[in-house]
Amino acid sequence: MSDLGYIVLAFGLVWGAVALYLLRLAALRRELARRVERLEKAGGAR
Amino acid sequence: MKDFLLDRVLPVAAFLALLAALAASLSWTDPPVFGGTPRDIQRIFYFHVGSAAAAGVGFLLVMVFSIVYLARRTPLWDAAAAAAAEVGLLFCTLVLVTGPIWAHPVWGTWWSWNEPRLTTTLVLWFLYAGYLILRWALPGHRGTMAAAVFGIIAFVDVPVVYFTARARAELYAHPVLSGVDAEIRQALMLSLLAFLLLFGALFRQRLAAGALEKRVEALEHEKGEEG
Repeated sequence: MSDLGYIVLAFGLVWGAVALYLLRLAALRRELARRVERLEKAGGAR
Repeated sequence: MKDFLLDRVLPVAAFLALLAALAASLSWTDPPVFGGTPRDIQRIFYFHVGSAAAAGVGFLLVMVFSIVYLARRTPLWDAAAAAAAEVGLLFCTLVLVTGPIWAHPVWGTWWSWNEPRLTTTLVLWFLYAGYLILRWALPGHRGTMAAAVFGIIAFVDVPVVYFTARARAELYAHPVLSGVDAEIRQALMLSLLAFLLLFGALFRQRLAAGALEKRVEALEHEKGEEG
């Protein structure tokens, strides 16, 4: 592989990993916000 | 205002800084010289060193937040330590991925167990992966206390990695900034800034999720007591 190939591989992995982590965080925050809302509603109902 | 700066301005600033760092590292500088020969492969080090700096800051924050948590026992400091460890581990993973990609064309091998910096960085990765596993395996007060103590002790490996890198500077041709020319130094500083901003943006997002996790725990605890 040429130097450019290695550079593209490295940059692709760095950006890909950061993008995946951001997507995972966004999904986690959505799920947690839903759980908080559900628990608060259940608490209020009692 | 503070939330607007941290949630909106910081990610945009990080993204713009990363684009600038990418442009600088790919086109601004001539290929850095390695072993007397200009090699384009050295451009990886702008991202490699940036990731290493972000991981180092993350693990330093784990230690600081763990000390504060042990002193004050406020759950938010524990959530902050966990967030710093997770984001730090992400950047440490990037260091371990980009390092071998640099090593393969230069050394002719992806990994060398005789290279102390690789080995100490791998140990660092296992330490903080262990820290996160410990938190997952031991939920509740016992787990947070054990993780805080572990987070302080694990930091010992960070200066070991740093000083190993300095001691073997001739192998990498980059860690000693006084030995590189001004253009390379500027591109490297831009990369460091970009990665630190990216760390800040990711840390902020993870901490917000951590605060929600603590809220869920508290609500479930209340629900359990009422039930």
